Amino acid sequence: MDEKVILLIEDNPDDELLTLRALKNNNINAQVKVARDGQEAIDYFFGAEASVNPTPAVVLLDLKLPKVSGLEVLKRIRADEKTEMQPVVILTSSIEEQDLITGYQLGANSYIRKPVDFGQFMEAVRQLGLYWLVMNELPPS
Amino acid sequence: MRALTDLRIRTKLSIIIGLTCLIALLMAFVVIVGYDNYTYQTQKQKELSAQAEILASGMIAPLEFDDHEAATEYLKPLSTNPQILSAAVYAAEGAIFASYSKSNSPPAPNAIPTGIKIHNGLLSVSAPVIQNRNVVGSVYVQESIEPLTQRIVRYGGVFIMAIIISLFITLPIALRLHYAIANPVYARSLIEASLDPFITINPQGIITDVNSATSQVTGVSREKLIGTDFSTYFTEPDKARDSYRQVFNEGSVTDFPLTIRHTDGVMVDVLYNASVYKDEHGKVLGVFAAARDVTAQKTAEREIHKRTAELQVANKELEAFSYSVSHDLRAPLRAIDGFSQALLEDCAGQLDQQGRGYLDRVRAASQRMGILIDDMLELARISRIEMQHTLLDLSTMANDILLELARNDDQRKVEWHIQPELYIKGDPRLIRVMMDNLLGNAWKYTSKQSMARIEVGKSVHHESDIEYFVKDNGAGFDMAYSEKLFGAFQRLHAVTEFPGTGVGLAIVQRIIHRHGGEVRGEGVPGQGAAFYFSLPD
Repeated sequence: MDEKVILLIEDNPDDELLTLRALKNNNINAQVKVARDGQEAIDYFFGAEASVNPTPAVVLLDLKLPKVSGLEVLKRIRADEKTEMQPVVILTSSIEEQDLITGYQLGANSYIRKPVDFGQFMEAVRQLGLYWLVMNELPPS
Repeated sequence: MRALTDLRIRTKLSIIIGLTCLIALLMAFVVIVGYDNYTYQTQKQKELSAQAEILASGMIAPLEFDDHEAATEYLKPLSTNPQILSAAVYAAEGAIFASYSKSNSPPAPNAIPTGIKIHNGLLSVSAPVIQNRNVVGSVYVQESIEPLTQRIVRYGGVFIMAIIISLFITLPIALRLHYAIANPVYARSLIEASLDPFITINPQGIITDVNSATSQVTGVSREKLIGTDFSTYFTEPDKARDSYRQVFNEGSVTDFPLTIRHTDGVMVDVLYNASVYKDEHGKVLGVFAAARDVTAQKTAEREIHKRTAELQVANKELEAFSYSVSHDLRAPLRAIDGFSQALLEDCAGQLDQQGRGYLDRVRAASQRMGILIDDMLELARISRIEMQHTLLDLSTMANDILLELARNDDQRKVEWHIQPELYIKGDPRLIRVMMDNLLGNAWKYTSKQSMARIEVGKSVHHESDIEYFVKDNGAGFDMAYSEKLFGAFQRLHAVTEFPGTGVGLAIVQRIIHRHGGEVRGEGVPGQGAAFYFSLPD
């Protein structure tokens, strides 16, 4: 069985490192690809190398991103028939009501707020990995 | 006459009516007295002449038989009439045959008086005694009559009485009538007294009257305004005519917005209030219209719009700020906490007990700051949230919250008493947050009590003065610090004693204030606390 791929869209290197650490500490074996701004994320799916990029089991999407916002990235993913069924989990610091509403309206599969407490953060990442990488069945490609 | 014109209308009317009454009564008095005096005298003459004739016919026999005694006897009954002073019978040759005179009255004259005489209040009449067409003697009777002066005095009394009575009757009528008569003048001065432009318009839309305020606002004199089409003085004559038709169709218009154009070009925004006026048969005579200058009001409205826009901008900035706080401040905190943890896990061997203790403190501090940021955002959210007013069952809500607190803390023994059927009006989400905080506090501050007790109810001071309360028998607080109770991030207990950030009561107060109510706390250290809040309808 191929190693599953997680696409982490995150501009903050601290959060990137902590997420990777949390995945590792939770023994979640997945190949993590990182896009450091909205444009990089869009390029992953629709850029020149899109055809060779593996389809992620889940996209972990931060909302506040340089260049192109996370919600815009989500909109682009849902607008293209190749990626419209791609599981996307919003993983962000914001709990603004408007972000929640827009996120779900644009078709996010889940919305998780990053806790400040690293213990809680670890737990969130553990459940997230278990659910999306192990429990969840992906749509047929 | 000038003095009269300066008097009040009411006084003028009273004087006119009084004088008219007086003159009419005086004329009547003179005529009545004159006529009465005339009829009185002729009546008396007739009566006395008849009396004399009766006497004369009775004297025929005594004169014929020369019986003096019979004649005297015949005169005697005259004493029954007190007004007859004297009487006499004369023989044909002129000598007194028999006579009668009242005591203290002059006797009858010796010579035969003839005809009718009135002199000094005395009326004397004589009549011949005729037998077979021959004059055999004559009879004389004198009577006192009431003198004219005495009659005038007597009538004068009646006259004065009549004046007094008629004034009593006519003056109140005059006072009542004066309103009806003076009203047109009164209304005219009312129109003039107003600082607002007032006009009357006839059914053809022609101005029939204006006050000086109208002249000022249009720049056209009263003489020139009257007789012209009213709609020409507005920036939108069609709209003005519409308002006019509306008055005719509906009887009145209220606050109809129009703009008056002054001859010098200045525009005045007004609100027109107009209604029709009718004659006594209900026929519409015209329209009475009053304009209110709302230029100042409009300026104030523009100012309010400007301020509102500024506030909206400020609110947007605040929202952007809280967004950035929630997102940007939390990320570094997560890094501080996360890497402290990483240090503890990965480099534990290089750290001694003290070093690990410091890292624990770093983690605890960053977590606490995370909670503070969340509370701050919650406080901001409470202020921004849009409110809906619905009827809420506070009793059920309080019970639900306490049941949930009990489920999450099954070590505690807490008994609670909730007054049933506490219905309030408020926003369901905000009231829930408020009750979460109040009951959460009660739960928290009774944690050191072996028999914790929480009470929810209402106290009615007056019909309109109702307070709801949440009471507990917990740690309480010193009333000396009650001012700090509702301040954000203000705490009256050490975090080690009771955990918390001190934002709960600030949230409670903000929610109550947003509902237009008041909240206050009462406490005694070690005995408990009570929080009272009011929610106006």
